[in-house]
Amino acid sequence: MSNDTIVSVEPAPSALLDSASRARPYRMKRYPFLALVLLAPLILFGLFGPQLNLHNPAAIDPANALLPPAFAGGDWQYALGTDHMGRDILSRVIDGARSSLIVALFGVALAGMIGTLVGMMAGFFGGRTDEVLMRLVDIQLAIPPILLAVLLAAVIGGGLTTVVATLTITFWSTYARIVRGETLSLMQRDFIALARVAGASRSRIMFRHVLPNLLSSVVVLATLQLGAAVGLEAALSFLGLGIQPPESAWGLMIADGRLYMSQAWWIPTLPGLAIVMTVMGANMLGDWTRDWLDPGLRRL
Amino acid sequence: MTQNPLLQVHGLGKSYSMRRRGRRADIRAVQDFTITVHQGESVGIAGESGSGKSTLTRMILLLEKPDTGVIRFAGREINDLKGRELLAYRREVQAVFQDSASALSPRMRVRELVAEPLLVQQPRVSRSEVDNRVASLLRRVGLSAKLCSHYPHELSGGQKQRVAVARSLIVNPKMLVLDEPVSALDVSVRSQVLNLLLDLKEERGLAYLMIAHDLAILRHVTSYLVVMRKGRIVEQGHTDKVLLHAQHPYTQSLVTALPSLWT
Amino acid sequence: MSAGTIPLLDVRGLRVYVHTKDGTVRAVDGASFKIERGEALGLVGESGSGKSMTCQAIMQIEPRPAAVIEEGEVLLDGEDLLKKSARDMQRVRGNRIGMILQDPLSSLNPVMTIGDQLIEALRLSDKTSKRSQLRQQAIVALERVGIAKADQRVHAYPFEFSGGMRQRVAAAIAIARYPDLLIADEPTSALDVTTQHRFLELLKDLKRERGMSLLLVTHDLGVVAGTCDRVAVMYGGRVVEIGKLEQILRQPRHPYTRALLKAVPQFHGRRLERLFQISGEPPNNREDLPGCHFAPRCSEVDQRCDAEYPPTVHYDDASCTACWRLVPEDET
Repeated sequence: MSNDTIVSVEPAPSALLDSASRARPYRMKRYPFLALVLLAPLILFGLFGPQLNLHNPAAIDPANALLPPAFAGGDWQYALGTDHMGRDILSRVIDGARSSLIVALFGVALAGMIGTLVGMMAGFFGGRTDEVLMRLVDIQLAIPPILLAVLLAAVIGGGLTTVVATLTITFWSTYARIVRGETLSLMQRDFIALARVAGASRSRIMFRHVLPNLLSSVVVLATLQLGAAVGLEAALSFLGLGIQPPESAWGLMIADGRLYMSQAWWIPTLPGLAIVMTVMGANMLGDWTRDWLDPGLRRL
Repeated sequence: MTQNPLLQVHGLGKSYSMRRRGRRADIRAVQDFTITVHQGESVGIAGESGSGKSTLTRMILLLEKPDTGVIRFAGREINDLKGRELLAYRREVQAVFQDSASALSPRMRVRELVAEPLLVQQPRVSRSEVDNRVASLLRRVGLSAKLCSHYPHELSGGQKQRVAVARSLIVNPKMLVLDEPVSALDVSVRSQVLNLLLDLKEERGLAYLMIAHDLAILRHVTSYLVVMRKGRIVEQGHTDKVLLHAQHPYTQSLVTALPSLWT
Repeated sequence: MSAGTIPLLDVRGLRVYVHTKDGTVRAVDGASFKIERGEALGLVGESGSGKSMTCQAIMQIEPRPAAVIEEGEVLLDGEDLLKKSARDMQRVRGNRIGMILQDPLSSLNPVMTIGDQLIEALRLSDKTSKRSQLRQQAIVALERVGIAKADQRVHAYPFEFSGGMRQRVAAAIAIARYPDLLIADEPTSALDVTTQHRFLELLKDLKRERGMSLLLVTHDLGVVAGTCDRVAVMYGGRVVEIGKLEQILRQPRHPYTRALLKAVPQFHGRRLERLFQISGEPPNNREDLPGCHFAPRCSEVDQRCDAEYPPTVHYDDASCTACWRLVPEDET
């Protein structure tokens, strides 16, 4: 080899400096800023509501009825104005946030647990179990949520329980379907076969191998459903099936304030805005969570 | 190599019925498969895709029931094992699969991955004993014990496969079923893992049943070879004899198709 | 090689970096090689070598925005492809450079007949011919890649074909417009060994037929042995050796090439008690090591190797290597 004629010797390329990189300086959204900003009211008010309230949200004060919000000519004492009964709207929005938060979290959590369990069993056991469970899903999907709420309210009256029950029964099927699909595809993977080869029992495989790998899908679904839950809760309260007076709920406020749209627009509009912000924020959080948990998407 | 037969498979067969364009067809994945693996022996199965080797592997590992035939291990028939007897079989026979990325539970740490067969089969073993065994096995396969708390995705391909090998050994089995153990690894890493497998076999007197499509690997790692095609055995015998003096046309075509670096 | 003809493809100092949230991966870090007209170059490397990213950069189909072509030139008949507009580059793809990928299953659209997929490929450079004429050309293309009863098969869907046949269809689409260069990225890795052999023969035929150049990317030196005229070996994002096939196989210069040849279990020859092994693992290209990328695993390493990346020694127009051991004394 030392006899080979060498034509030239070329020095190694020098290192490329970071400053010379042609990569665009765009950075991935590391944190869901906008989503959190939109959700901040819900979370803050939901957690610290009673402490923040200046007025009693249920206090009726006809003398101060229909006062406009501070930015539309009113007083800072009633920052978002008052409704037709003199109740401070800001306080009621804060109080309503509480209800919405509790209801949404409970409803989504319960729906998630039930749905995940059902979906996992359907996918894992297959056969008869799968058929029976999926028929249950089909049955549930055939029931309109509002009708369900009406029926429940007729039986147990309106209120928090009715809303949580409606949410749970309405939302579990989505989890079941998605989890079943994921379970089916996970069962094909080698590590499940090797767990059986190791001697693992079926319950161990279900809870130690399948479930942990489902969690990221379940979490994404849950964050996306939060928005839908808040929306459904608002609809139910609007119809009088949900949170009952004197408790506050955003949907209830819209229902009450409908009649005053032309003379005191703030009464239905401001709670409506709260609902829109929350639902949007929840959806954005859901999107961000999905991107964050999915290592497949390449980002700068 | 002793003459004690460890695994005896006789007339094994399995079919699947599939619907193809409206007609029901029976696909015979494995047909009339007979093989014996002796204690300490390394037997290879050469087969391409569609040869039925994965179905065969699953049947031998008792993950699927054969339609016909008998499997005997250490003299006892094992086709219908359940419960404690099945667990006893699982103690004697473990497996290493091809793609370590999908063969290791993504959400389990290395420690638990290696320990799982032991935890499942002997739940009363003390935690410190388990830790000791895991640590010593990791060292034996060439990995640092510090990797215990890592997740599979934090490891390289070679490291993952070593974890899979460590896991397969923790219950001290007598036989390993290896399904394409190095095909998914980088070429420069394959011989490391193969040498490890060869060393372990010597040390522990293990029997290997190795399925691979790469004849060169089978040549160096196995002493007896079975060539499989479309679910059937077409040729078998001592590895060198089968490969260097192939009788069956299919075997011959496999050998001639081999790219050679010395043309 | 006659003096005065420029190579068909001349890649110079190509750098492709992938920017992830965990840092920058230097997938290709200064790769240079040439392919003459009618020549088959094998690009050999393992994971982290940068061979696939190099091909993608040539075609400018690298996964943006994360992957960025930071530096370098890709000259096709003297013209720098990296300076072309997106539309011009679109005309290059398919017309002048064709590509086959590893997985025949995902290369083809499952819901279109293969005839339609071929027609779509042909249509891109031929906007005037009638559909029936293009279908004829599609049938001819299928025949060229050895698919029997092409006139009937042209109406079939991909799922009706086996892996090897699908790969042939993918090849038919890639060469439908008679490109000057065909890039095949691990085209046989997903195929059985007998099918692999036949497919490589097909590539050789196609090359001979039209004097088409071939860039065959693979991790398998055996694949290269039967098909290529020259071989470029990549490691850690750089080209460590280039040479004629004979020279690479019989007298490899770079320690990595030598180790690779020894480490691959060989079918012929003596049965070994123990296989030759290379310690360590291929690099992940995240750290900017000052020295040679193979140094941590090299059995011939000395102190220069860790300190500075070796220069490239050119022997003639067709071969070179980057190793301190081969740099003549007066140049260091």
